[in-house]
Amino acid sequence: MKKVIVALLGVTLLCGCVSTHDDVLGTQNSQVATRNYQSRTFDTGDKQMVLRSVISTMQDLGFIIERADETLGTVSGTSYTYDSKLTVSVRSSGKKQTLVRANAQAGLNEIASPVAYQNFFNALSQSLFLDAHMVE
Amino acid sequence: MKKFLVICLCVLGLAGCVSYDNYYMLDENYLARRQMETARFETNDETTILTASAGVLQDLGFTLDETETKLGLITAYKNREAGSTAGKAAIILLAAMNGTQAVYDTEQKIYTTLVTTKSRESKGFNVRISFARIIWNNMHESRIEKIEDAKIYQDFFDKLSQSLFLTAHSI
Repeated sequence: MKKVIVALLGVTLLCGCVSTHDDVLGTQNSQVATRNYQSRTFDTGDKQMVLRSVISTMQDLGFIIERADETLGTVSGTSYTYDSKLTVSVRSSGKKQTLVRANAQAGLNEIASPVAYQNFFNALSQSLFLDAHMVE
Repeated sequence: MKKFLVICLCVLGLAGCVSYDNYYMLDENYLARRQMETARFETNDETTILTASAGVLQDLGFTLDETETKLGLITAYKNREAGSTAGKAAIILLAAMNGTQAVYDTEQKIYTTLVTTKSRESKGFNVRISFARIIWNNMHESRIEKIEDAKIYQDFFDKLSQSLFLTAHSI
């Protein structure tokens, strides 16, 4: 039985061995799958409006905005509520559509949960609707 | 011993499972918060609003961190002492009387994000500002607080209003 425990501990230790290559270039899912759940297309050609709505959504979710660049279409922020960092990029996809991509990490882990991104895009959809139809 | 092994395997299995499914969900107060954080100014000159906003933030002692005028964005922060000296003295005294370690706030970093957007329904621009702070205590522990005191937001918009010579309308 001692041998089994030693083997178990050996396996546990091996589980912790990750190469530098995996640290730098590794992801939990394939690039295609990751890109798929991290991206959404919205039916508007107004990239600037989408970018401003991304900032509004991140404010709604309690993010502190750290960087934004209109030319690159990127916004980055930190949430201390979720202990996570989020980068969102926005680019035109044809004249009538805009592609939004988000990627996040929580603490020392990549967020690879499609549901978390779905939650973010749901919030963004509401914000886009609010920004377009804000009742004042 | 079998039970021990089963528990070990369960712990190993659970170690890799962290759920992020509840991340990035809007809470029920987000619309009220958005309203509290936003005011509308009747001018179509966004640059003037941003310049005045930067000026008011500087008046309040903030260091401007990031600006992107094409998106109407200003972020700023300031570091300040947390808690009053009298409050800390009282906590230290109480802890000494109870023979416990005194824990009190020492430092805070206040962050702000300001964004302007063109109003769709009315004339002018909406200005939205949000404040949050990280507070550290003497045990080097930190906590984050969203600042949700409506008066702070109202006072900020009053100052911006005075700087712009325009009335701040609520949305």
